[in-house]
Amino acid sequence: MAMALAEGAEFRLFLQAEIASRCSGNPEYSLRAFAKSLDIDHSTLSQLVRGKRRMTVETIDRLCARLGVDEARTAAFKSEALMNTREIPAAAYDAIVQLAQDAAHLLSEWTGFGILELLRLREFRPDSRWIANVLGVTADEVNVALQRLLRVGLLEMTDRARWRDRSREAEAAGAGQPLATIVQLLEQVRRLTSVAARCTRESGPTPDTT
Amino acid sequence: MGQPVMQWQIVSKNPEALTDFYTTVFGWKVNANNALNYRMIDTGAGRGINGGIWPAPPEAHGFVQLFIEVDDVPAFVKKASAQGAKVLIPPQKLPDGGEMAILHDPEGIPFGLCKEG
Repeated sequence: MAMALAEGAEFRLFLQAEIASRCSGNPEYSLRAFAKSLDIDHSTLSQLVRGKRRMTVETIDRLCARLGVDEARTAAFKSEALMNTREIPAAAYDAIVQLAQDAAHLLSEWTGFGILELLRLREFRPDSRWIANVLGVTADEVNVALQRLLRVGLLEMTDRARWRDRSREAEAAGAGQPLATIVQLLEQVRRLTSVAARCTRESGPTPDTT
Repeated sequence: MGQPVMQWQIVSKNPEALTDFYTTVFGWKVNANNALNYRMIDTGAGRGINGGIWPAPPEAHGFVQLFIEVDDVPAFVKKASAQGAKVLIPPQKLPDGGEMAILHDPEGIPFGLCKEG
């Protein structure tokens, strides 16, 4: 079973703030009046504001137009809503957590960087013991780092004699050195883990795997 | 052609100590003389299946996974993915020959696909 997340939270908060603002300037102002100004049924608006009804991008488009919200902010609201309405299959949850852990460890441990740097040498040998000797770590530490690089897609064993440093492809695409590539990766997973954490809060500490 | 389970793999937080444990208790033979320093285990029984021991990252728990031999690793990764598996490590060509990939089955249990080189 997929786990649905709270939808359209950001635009919902914007609507709440807008109502509060109007009410503070006019004690007689009500949700019903706000709904009328937006040309929307007041019970529907009430459900949207309370998070009881899904906030679709079409709704956001329509309400933003009525409220005079500029295009950039409207797009941001819609983007947030799309992110929040995305469902995370339970089986994907562990993969997201794993990706976040790998990225964090690659940032905090230098062995992964060391392997990527060694790949640039003509003398490089696809051999954990050779890498371990050069980096002054154990072969097990090399293999743990190798797993991380393979999982996050920064390394690929393309054939038995050659490994491909995929961080260089990201570098060529403007991501910078391996460190910058991993920082970019971490930023991507930060967003995913944020969603996963909300998913956990809504579903309890153990992901629903049924 | 069937797809046999060819190997078990213990992913261990302390592979050296665990290797000592199994070789001491069961008399299994270990050979890590390969490019990945992979501790290949030969039970010496002549039946059953052999395995290996691989290091786990510090944040992980130790566990056992099975490797299923297929004739086309990328094709089976695609087939398994279509049935709900998640790719953890996409197909890789191993330095000593052969190919492997690691996936999570739909319940999140990791398993490997392998092809002899």
